[in-house]
Amino acid sequence: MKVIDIAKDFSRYPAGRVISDGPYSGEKFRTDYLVSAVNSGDRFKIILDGTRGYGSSFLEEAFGGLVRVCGFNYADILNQIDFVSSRPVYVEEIKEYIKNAGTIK
Amino acid sequence: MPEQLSSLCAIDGDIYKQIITFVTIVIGWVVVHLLSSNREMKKDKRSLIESVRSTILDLEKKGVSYHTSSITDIEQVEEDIISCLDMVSSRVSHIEESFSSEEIMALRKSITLTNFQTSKKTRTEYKPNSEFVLEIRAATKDLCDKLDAKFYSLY
Repeated sequence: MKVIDIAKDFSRYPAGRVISDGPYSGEKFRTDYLVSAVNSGDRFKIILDGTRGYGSSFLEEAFGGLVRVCGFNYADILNQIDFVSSRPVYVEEIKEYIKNAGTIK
Repeated sequence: MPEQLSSLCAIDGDIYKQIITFVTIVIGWVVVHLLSSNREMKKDKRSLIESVRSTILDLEKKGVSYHTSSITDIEQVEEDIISCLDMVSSRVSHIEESFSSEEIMALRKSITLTNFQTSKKTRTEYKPNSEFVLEIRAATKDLCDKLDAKFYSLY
């Protein structure tokens, strides 16, 4: 199973929503890591631990953007990704953004 | 023969008394130990709740200040807010595994969902009585209320 470790593969300091907000924004993470992983159709794991934390804007843009911007089906995404985090709030929040982006659409 | 039997019975009776005394002591010790460790655990949780509550109130101040005033060292303040939110998220799960994330999510969103970690050109400074700021205050209050309820349930 493919594993994306945000702290190791992307940054320990993910910040911002769009690319103009900084080098480690949610949009950047989505386009560089998430889109190809979702396109593969295989299940994959995302490790959220190890960073200094996440702003909601980063999480919404990275994960909600998969549905809102890229047009993926929210139920498929939720089935495809296994989240690993010692903070349950991050996983709940991400799932909420993915669902909301799907239902608002 | 009957004398021997009666002396044997007396010995048995003594042994039973000693066993009963020993068992009573052990049970008493276990009960006291359990009550004491339960009391200590509640005390630890109460002090954890107090510390989380204080961090949340500090976060409210930082969040309101971040969104209402111009800050010179903006990246440092952003990182500080993110760190505090991360700490609160972690500690709350130690207070109670089933502690609902709803109020923490609301606080996180109120401070970091919009107008946060943006490029300086798109950043807005809100008025202290704006709906944006009131949302931060409301989310803080809801989370503190929930922690208070948990705090008092530990007495």
